[in-house]
Amino acid sequence: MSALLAAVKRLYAAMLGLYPRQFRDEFGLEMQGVFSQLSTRAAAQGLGSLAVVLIKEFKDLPLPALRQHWQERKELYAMENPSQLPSEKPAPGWAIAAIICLFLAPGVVTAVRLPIPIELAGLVAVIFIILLFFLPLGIGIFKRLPRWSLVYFGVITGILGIYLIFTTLERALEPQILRWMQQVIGGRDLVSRLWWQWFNQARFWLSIVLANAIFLGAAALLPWFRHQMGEIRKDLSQLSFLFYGGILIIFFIDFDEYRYDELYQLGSLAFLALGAWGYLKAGTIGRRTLALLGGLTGCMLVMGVGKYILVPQQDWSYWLSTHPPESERWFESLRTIATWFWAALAVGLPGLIQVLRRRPPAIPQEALEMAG
Amino acid sequence: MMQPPLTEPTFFILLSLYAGPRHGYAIMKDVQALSENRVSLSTGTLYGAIKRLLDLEWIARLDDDGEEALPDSKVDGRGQKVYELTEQGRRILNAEVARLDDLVRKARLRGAEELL
Repeated sequence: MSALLAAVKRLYAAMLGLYPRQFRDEFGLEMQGVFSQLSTRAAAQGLGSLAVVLIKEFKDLPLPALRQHWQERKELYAMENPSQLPSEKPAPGWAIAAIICLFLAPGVVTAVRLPIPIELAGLVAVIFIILLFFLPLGIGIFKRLPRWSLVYFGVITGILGIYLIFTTLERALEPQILRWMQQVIGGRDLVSRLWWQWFNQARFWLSIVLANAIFLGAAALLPWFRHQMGEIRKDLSQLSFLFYGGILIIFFIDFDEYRYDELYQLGSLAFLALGAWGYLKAGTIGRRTLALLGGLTGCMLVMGVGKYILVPQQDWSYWLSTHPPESERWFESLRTIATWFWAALAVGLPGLIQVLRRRPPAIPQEALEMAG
Repeated sequence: MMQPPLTEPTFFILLSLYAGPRHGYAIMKDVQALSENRVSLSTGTLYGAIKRLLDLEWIARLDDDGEEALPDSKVDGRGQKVYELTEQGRRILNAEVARLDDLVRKARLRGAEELL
């Protein structure tokens, strides 16, 4: 019996490995002591009693261990809560409202026909653009690039990335690469065309990332913005929000030249607005990144479904003469996955890096000595 | 903010410590006795609850193992730590007892003695 007891005690001690290290260091010895008492007393009453105790103890071990792992994860997320950074202020309500309008306004303008005389439409558009874009952008610069303002710079770097860097790279560097890529994936079948889109989106995002790198490099040189550069290093999800502005540009490149697309555009943009709102409201880097990824995914989902429904209603005689209509429908819809993939990578990667950078809490010296 | 009702194991652990400081094994046996064998905690469940109660500061760990003559402490004293109820824990337990008492009183007012 004593050999059996010694064996189950050793097994129990080994099973405590299921618990997180910190919990084990704090309670492991005590738990072994209690288990030892329980099993010794039960063994004194006979094998049946011992069996009952062992079944209960071993059966009840994994679930509390899992709960402790979950608890530790939660505590780690709480520790990385950037709202605890002394320098970070919550985004003001007006800025949140302005950013929601920034994403929603293009969709509302196309979906709702405002009763404005045509001669006034240009003036109204200019006023709207100043109020919704340039005014918050100016306030953002004046306030030294607070977190909320980065999305406006993301829109600008998105435009510059696509219309300046992308076109420059295409002219200067890419002819050889393009020719080679066309030989590899330049077929006219659905799969080859999707691979080509994958490659295209990669080039778009490479250009946007380059534009943002130039922007951040320039901002780091200016003393006015230097403090915020330090804040970005502490919370890399701010880079995600910068890239999130670029998604707006990619969205309009990807979802243009459609008829009857107003509601789908509005739906997609509403998801982007929701993601931005979630980002500004969330208290942890993980949640901020998830909010942006959620907004992006919702947006792309509506766009993909919208394209699938809309393609048969389009007047694309050229395309539909060179590609079978059903193939074109799938191509337009599925290429959204390529758009989503690269955008999700750009938006998700900074948050992921931040999560990987986290260090587990230090183990107390006393616990190390006990374990040793 | 209103304190949500305590779970039965938490209630009995706090009740066990209400009488005085105890170590883990003694709490386990006391909970079993107080609940008339209805609540039988395993070691894993007990220490999960102890960790949570320590975090909430409803109980505290005594600095030394100076528990006096608790019979169960003699079997295997390896790593035994003694826990006691804090003032906060005492308030929570009192509030829970008052809540339960209020429920029973209301049931009685409805003439539901046969349920009790």
